[in-house]
Amino acid sequence: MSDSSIRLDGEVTIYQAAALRESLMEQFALLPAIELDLSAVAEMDTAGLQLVLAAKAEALHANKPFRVSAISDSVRDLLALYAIPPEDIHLERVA
Amino acid sequence: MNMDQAIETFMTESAELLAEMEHALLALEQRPDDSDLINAVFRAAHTIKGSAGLFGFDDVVAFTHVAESVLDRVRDGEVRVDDALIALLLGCRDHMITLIGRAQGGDEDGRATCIAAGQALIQRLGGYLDGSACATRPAVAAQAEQTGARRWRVELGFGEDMLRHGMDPASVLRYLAQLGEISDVWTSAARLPRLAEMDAESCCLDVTLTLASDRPVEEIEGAFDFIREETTVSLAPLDDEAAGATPEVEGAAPPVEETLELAAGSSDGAGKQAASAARSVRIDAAKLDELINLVGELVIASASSHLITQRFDDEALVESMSVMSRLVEEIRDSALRLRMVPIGETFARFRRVVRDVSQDLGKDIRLEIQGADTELDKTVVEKIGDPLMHLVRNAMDHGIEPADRRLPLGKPAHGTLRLNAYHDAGSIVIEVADDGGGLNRDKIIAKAIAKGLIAPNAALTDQEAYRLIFEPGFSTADQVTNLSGRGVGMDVVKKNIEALRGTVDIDSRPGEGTTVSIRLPLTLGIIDGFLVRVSDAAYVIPLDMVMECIELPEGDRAQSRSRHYLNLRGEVLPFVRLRELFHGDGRPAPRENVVVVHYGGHKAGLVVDELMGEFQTVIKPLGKIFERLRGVSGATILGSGEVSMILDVPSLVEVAAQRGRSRSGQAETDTYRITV
Repeated sequence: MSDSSIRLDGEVTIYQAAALRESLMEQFALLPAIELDLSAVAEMDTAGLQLVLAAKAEALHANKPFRVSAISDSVRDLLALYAIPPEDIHLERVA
Repeated sequence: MNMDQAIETFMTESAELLAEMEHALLALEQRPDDSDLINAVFRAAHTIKGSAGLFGFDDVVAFTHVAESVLDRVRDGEVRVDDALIALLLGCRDHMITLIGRAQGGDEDGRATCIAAGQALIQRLGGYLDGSACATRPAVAAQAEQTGARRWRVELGFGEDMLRHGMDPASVLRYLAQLGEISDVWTSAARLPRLAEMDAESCCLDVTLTLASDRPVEEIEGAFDFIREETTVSLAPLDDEAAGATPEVEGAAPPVEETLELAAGSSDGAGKQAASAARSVRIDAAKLDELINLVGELVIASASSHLITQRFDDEALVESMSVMSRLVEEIRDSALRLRMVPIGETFARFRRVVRDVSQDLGKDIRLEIQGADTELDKTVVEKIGDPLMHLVRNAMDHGIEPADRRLPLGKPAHGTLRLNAYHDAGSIVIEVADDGGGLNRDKIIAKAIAKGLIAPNAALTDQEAYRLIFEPGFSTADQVTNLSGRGVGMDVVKKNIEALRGTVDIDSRPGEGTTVSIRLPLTLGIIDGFLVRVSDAAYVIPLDMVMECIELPEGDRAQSRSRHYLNLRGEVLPFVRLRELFHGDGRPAPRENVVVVHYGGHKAGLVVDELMGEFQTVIKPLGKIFERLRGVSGATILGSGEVSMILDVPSLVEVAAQRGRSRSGQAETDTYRITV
């Protein structure tokens, strides 16, 4: 796990979305490359998914490398439901 | 709509659907082949399953699915409706209530028992299935493969506020996946702003997908029921013969239904639904109460303005004020009418009770309902259920005799319980009548004497004797009366009804049956009153109970010192002097007037000093310390800011009747005094 990895755990839902966005913004300012570790996410909803998608778009804008290092089952189910292919979020290996 | 509200809507709608389901099941007992009824039961189960799926109430979905599968076979004519099946389905319906209640509560207590009960029902339901349909969800997806599956193109533009309101678009997708097979899903995040500008709680996704489902359009459309307000939905058939002719309509709910109707031509249910949705609006009861409170204040304020107006000799002002008063009166009436609901729904609940209890008791009892359209205030309806339940159970348990005792008396083998409602003098009267054995007057009196409720030599009318069963400490011990309850005293019934400013009365004929009549005010908040003055205090008499006003004739005035009745066009009219009753001051005013009031079939005169005319009265409840005060039922505030008492006409009529009777030599002290 590299130092630049941002690890989200527990619930990533509408209830945490606003606070998570704030902390993502802070990380973006500090880190040269963005790596999300979603392997410990117990529950993700659409708000959480939007954050991941927005983070990817933001990295693209800022010309920073972006990748998702790992996902949990809950995240995988949600991606499948929305038919978002893993490569879309630069997920290289399946956790 | 936030999540709590959406769940509340689901709860309310489920309750309604389950009530309909019960109703249809009971009707099926009489007409087992009625396909409309079968469809109604199926629809209820199906809709609940669908909505529950939307909220992720998996227990509800799993259980209801099995029941629905059985119903589906019934619908196809593969399973015949018989008493055993109806009993089982009624059990399932009850279990669904439990499950839905638990879905919200989320406590773990009793979960095991609940699951066990569900499993037992599922096992019994399994007997009606080939075993194949018992598997829960996969069966649904498989159906899409069957012939008859149609393909729909679904485009969803989720509303920005959707997440904030507690609805997750993912649930909608999951639900759609249950209706059929989803393919070609494409999610667009084009609306998603930059992270810096983004409101993380806004929903910015659009999804298009293909759904292959054999479900009718109404059901697919049902998936969007809870998100209509904010989501753009477009649903178009892909390979339907009508596809070419169907314009693709985008927009919120109503256009969707139009599309569906054009496309499928089979959605007459959906059309009706849309029409009825347009005619009625669901309103939070608390908002209505708030409105009615405000109208109450408006009435008081308007009375006060009216009073001030009279100080100025300005014709235009008086004119304009009187127009305003009339409008306020109309607003008051309309506001109160908003809260009026027919009593039929409350009555209908008893079909099930009568069915179940009569089976328990081994008696054949039929329920007849009359006056189901009679309306009364919602707040009253909510509180009348329990007292009615006691009365109905008592009548079935102890009123109606078993068939082997009925037949020798020449009565039909089946007993009849009658629920009736009608309006009378500003009240609603609800009757619970049975055709049973009636009350035994002698036994009641013997028991009342034994309990020390009446003096041994008391002379009671039949009515008074029957009313004794409402006394605390009476009832229950042994089966003295036909109405003694199972631990539920009739006094509790009476207390509950009195708390609603109502009265309860009982009539009984030996061998023919017993009728309990409950009389309740139509509304609890505001009434039309008649203002009178006695000495220096103003009193309000509910206008509905006032029949006429007369001046107390000189001749009667002289005699009325010693007697308490007068001659009203040849009729004996007992009266009460309010001055004596409330002021303890026997000295009469120079002129006296009599307000003739009636209640529950009795008339009486109330002697007052001055008649002051009609007055819109906002009832303010009396504090606890005044609870036992006789002759007064509440208070109100006059335009002048003065507090005025509202007279309790029923008890005053009773007092007058007693005094009137004492003229015939009956010692008042021996009479059992009843204030109902």
